[in-house]
Amino acid sequence: MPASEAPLLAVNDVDVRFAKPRTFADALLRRSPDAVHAVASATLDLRPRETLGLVGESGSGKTTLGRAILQLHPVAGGEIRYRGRSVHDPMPDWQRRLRREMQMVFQDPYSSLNPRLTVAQTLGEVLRFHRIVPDAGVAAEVARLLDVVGLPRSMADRLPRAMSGGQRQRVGLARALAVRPSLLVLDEPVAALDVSIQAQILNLLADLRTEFGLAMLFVAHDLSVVRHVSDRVAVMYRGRLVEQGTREEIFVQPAHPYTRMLLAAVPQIVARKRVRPVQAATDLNAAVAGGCAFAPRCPQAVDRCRLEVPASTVLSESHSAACHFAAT
Amino acid sequence: MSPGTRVDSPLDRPAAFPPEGAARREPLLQVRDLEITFQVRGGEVLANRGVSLDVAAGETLGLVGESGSGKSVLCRAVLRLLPSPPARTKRGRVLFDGIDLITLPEAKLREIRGTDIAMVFQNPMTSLSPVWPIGDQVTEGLRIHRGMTRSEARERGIALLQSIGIPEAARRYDDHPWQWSGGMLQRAVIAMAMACSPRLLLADEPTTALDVTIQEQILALLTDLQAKSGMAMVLVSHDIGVVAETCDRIAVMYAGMLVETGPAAAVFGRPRHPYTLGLMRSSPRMDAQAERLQPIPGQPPDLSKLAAGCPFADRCAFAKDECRHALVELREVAPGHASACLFPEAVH
Ligand SMILES: Nc1ncnc2c1ncn2[C@@H]1O[C@H](COP(=O)(O)OP(=O)(O)OP(=O)(O)O)[C@@H](O)[C@H]1O
Ligand SMILES: Nc1ncnc2c1ncn2[C@@H]1O[C@H](COP(=O)(O)OP(=O)(O)O)[C@@H](O)[C@H]1O
Ligand code: SF4
Ligand code: SF4
Ligand SMILES: [Mg+2]
Ligand SMILES: [Mg+2]
Repeated sequence: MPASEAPLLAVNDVDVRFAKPRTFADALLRRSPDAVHAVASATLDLRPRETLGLVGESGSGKTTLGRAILQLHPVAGGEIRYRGRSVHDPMPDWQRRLRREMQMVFQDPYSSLNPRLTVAQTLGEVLRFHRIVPDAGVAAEVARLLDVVGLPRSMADRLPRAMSGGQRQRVGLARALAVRPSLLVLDEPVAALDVSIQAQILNLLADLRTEFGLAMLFVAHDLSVVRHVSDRVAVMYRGRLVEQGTREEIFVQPAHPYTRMLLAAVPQIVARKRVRPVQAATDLNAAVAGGCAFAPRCPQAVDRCRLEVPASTVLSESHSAACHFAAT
Repeated sequence: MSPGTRVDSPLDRPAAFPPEGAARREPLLQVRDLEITFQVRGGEVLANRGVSLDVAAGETLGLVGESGSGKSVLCRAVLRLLPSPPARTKRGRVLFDGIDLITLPEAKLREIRGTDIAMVFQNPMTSLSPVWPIGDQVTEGLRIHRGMTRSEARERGIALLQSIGIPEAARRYDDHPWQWSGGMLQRAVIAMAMACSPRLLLADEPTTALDVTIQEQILALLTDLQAKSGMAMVLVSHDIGVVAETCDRIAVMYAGMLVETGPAAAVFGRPRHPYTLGLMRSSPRMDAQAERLQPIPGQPPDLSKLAAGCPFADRCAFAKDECRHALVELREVAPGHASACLFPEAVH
């Protein structure tokens, strides 16, 4: 990816916070719930035609960051720019254009489609709303979209409940592609699918990317899937981007201990049993006192880690990691 | 405890394991020709079609297949936990240590459930109540089945929680489920299953809802407990990497049937059923070039509308006319390695 090309999307130091729901313990102790920092100073770029994989454990803030980019969540700090212009720019028609050019595809093809609309109605609604084709051309465009995502045209009259998970995910993709977007945010698009169907959808995404020159932010917790689809990868831990790099940098020379831990844990199709040491339970609910958020789980942690939040260390033009020892 | 600390287990059994001559002994669990159906509107779902398998003491069998293939039905059928109706056991036997569980009176079966045979589910909250302290729930079996007093059970329960890697177990014994993360709750459920020293553990997708790092911890724990206690274990997963790394023998399930069984090294080293090969080729791998995946075309058949012949025929690259004539039975292709394909030699 030439670094000279202007980014399509630039996320700069973005914070997203949620007001924590009042828990039973809060009520007992008569304390007011504080804000959950779901995303903290996130910075990333996406260039045209590029796929950035975003990985991390459950609750690390991947979905929240994706939704913030599409303005489905307000940001508490920082800035998001699309084609060099703030997504909050008051320019006439800018919001409408953003809503067309950036599309989201969700994990759950079951709940993201209106159960009462047929495939043709779902796609027709979007085509009309954004005036993509004249009304007379809608039926032909629906047929073309079905071809693009590899669904038989006879599916046009089906309701979502009469389709398999993989078919529904194709409809979700067709709906996103209907408006001819430049950027897709895909939130765990294959996590609910079986491997044989997952492979069909991953290959389809690769084809669509080549054919339409789409940029993609691909959110997933499965590292083998991310390795397969991404040009670059960003790793998230408890709301922070802890490492970013090209696919090779992340998978061959990971610099952050958390990235290395994730990679080592991926089950492999080996022909022999793997013996792993038994470890103490990780309490993912435990609060982090200060310093590096990963310190309680980090095999390399030293005293300094518990006191000082590590800044991002630049390792190459494309590679950075937020660990005190990233460079060593 | 810091990460990587080894945990001592009170489940260690000093007796040498496996005992001499283990290979010649009767398998602990024998499933024979099991057929389970569900009565649904407009017909009958054939969820298990003539399933036969053996699991020996000290052995881990990996049951792998895509969603809807019948893995959970098989596990639940062993313990007779399926709702009936709509479920019906049409044929077959389930022998546990020689006792037929299908015909055993319910009262007798209740003694076996949770003591000799324990089960762990995907969602830990299937087995836990949100309103009771975790420790009391973990030791409930000890109080009911082993007649322990509350204080005896507490002492043993704290040791159990320690053995499954819960830091500060004594202090956390009285915690409620909402105070624990998903991985910790799954450990508690495993402790609960292990409380009465079961001889067989059925683990149905115990790590599917967990992050990969936590999954690794749970698999390590299960493997360790299994090796130390000598119990038999069935580990169900849709992830072939998980079973490949954890199990001795593998059973691959497709459309309610076992289509390939054998030692893990043989099944994944030289698969003899096109479905097993298809699963391997459609999985993105960490060790291969990130090239194009080779998906299995089409979708699994509807189990209420099964045609005659091999259920994989519509998706199979090796299919010939005769594949559609009659159901193909599992046949041995190498010692201990069986395939339900007419052309196991052609698979590559
Ligand atoms: N609507 C909300 N209200 C309050 N907190 C929320 C809300 N949505 C998310 N959070 C919190 O924000 C954090 C990030 O959540 P997010 O859903 O972005 O994680 P994720 O990385 O997408 O996880 P997963 O892999 O489980 O999808 C979590 O701590 C979560 O509990
Ligand atoms: N209670 C039920 N009623 C009707 N059909 C069921 C019921 N439980 C399971 N089935 C059917 O049995 C088949 C096998 O299901 P299951 O064992 O849960 O699959 P797996 O665990 O392999 O994902 C599926 O077709 C499923 O829809
Ligand atoms: S800063 Fe310290 S605790 Fe954090 S990842 Fe680096 S070594 Fe580990
Ligand atoms: S029996 Fe025929 S259709 Fe079935 S798996 Fe073998 S070759 Fe394929
Ligand atoms: Mg999410
Ligand atoms: Mg299941």
